[in-house]
Amino acid sequence: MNENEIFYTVHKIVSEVIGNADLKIYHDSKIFEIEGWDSTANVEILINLESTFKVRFEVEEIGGIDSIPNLLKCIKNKISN
Amino acid sequence: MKNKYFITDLTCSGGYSWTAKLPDEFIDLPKNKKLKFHLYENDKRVFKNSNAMHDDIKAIGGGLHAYWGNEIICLSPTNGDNSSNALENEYSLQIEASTAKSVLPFGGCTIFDPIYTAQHEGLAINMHRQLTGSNNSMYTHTPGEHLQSINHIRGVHLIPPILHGLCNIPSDLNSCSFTETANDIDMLLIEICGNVEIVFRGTILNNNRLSDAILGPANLAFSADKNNQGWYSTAQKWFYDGLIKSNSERANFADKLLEYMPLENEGDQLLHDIVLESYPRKVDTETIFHQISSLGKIFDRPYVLVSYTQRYMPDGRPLSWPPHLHAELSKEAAKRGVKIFHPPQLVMEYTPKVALKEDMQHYNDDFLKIIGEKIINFI
Repeated sequence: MNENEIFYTVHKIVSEVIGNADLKIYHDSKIFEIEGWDSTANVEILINLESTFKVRFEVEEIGGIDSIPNLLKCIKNKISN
Repeated sequence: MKNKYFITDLTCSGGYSWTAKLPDEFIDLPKNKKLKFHLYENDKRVFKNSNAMHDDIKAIGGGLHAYWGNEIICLSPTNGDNSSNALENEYSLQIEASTAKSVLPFGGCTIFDPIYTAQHEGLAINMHRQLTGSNNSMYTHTPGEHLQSINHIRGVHLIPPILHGLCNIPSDLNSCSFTETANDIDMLLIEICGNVEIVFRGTILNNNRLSDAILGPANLAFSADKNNQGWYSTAQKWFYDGLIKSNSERANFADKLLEYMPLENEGDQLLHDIVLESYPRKVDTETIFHQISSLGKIFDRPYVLVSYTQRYMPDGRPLSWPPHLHAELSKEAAKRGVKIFHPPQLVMEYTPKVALKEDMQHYNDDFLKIIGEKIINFI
């Protein structure tokens, strides 16, 4: 799975959790700035991402997932290992 | 380190108050020892506020108590009328001199509840509540808010009365002597729940109270009639995206929200003004630590931080919000030699099922004593 495919899947999951099909997410978006992505949504998004990509974010990694590029990088590293 | 004494000779002294003589061994205690009072009726209860005003004890009751000099303990065993029921109830009082630390917490219920529970369970800690002049805890979320409240109490920077409710300033705040009252405090416990302050005309508003005031009515309207979704979703957008996330569309969200909000009295006008004029102020880590240091200097007391977790994953992994906030604060604290108590380690150890309520945010009642005890050990 390349980075664009990961991005597409992330976009789909986040849009579904937030309930906004027109959600604007860019490759350089900061998570805290994405409309509707709040602390409650964050839990559900992470659970869905872990389940879809069959990965587990460690406690130390979660704090670093504060932007889309960091999230994509983290997922890419995990699925390629 | 504890001296205990049991007395049963209590005398009604008007209103809700009772008095008793302090035994000699409790007079002129060393500075590191404090008096604690346990009331025995059918059950064992710990009194709430020490150093209360005599008139307040008589009028308010509810566990307020105090002792003066070496002679009198004035206390309020019950909110019954002493003159009518004193002879029907028997009370006794255990006095204890302990080395319990008197701590002043700043933060929300994840810091107040464990401390209160630990004190209620008789552990070696006293939660200082005198500064607010009431039994209410003054929840504040950011260090800027903590400072603002204390400066209000000190009379250094007064919050306009019309905004007291939105800043969690108790309505019955009394004019206690700040210096005298603060002298009782041994240590500050500071929780940092976020790094965004919502500012209205120079005053930082409390997130929860603002949410209650603006989102509350919208939520009620939506619950009553699902056709009112527009008001509800617009209020959410204005608050969470416009304010908390500082979305550039905030002014548009505000204009749209005002179309839904009633405007019938002065209170409504204030809320309209708040929606139009409030703005978010993101506070960087350096400023946060400068504010914390200022708090320490005001009280001239040591302080420790208690980390705040916005949510937990179902398996107990903590989620900070914004995501990097805890990591940044921890790094800066380590650099400055400031200690941080980190509750998520305990949540993981005891499992989220034991430690957390269903909202995966607040502690279970049975867990409060455990975490309170750990905080005592930590400090």
